Amino acid sequence: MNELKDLLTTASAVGSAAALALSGDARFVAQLLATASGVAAKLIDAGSTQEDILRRVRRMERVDTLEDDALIADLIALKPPKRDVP
Amino acid sequence: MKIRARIWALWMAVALAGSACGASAVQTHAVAANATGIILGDTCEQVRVSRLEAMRSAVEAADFQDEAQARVVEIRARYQPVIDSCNVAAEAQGAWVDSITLAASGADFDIPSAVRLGRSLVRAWSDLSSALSVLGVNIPPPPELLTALVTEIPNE
Repeated sequence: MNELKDLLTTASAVGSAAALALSGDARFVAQLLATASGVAAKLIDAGSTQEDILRRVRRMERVDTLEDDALIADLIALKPPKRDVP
Repeated sequence: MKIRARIWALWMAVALAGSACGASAVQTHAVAANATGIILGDTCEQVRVSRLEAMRSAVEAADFQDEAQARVVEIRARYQPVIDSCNVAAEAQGAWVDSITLAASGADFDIPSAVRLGRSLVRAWSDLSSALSVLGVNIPPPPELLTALVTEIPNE
């Protein structure tokens, strides 16, 4: 299964390359690392047979930010308005 | 043009059968589309979570509404190219999955069309990689299985 090995290498590299990146957002890097290990597990699980994969190919979802933005708007509303400068 | 496409499709089917341990072309495409969907899908979900956490931290650190709003606007602008790239990738991968699903249910598998869809996903991967690099995150190129599927398509 060279294909699976290739894919696992890529999934792992997504995380390790991110860890080496000069990112100011350490949390993002940590999340990507967690993603890489999770992806590897899913690929092993999903890759039991090629027939299995054919029956249930993973479809990417669009990134929906509406709920996130609504949550942040609520948090901003809890902040006091700017004080008037006398 | 049709003859060339048929010859190419025959060659590709043979090549893929050899390269995928006897798997059919549609199975090989399914493996590549599935893995790409998992890798990019999970990466893009983490981008969304990271964006949310960045905004939440910025709001918590701000004293007043207008300061919080300004910080949130800056973060949204920084992440928007990545979000856009994720959504382009999702559209490309979804169309590819559709063609595979149709073939799995008995329809003819149009290999040149499927390869073109796969090629659009490789472009989307590259665009996403460029957008992420602006955030200081570098991801590797697509898996060899994916690039091998899309590099030999004839120009039509």
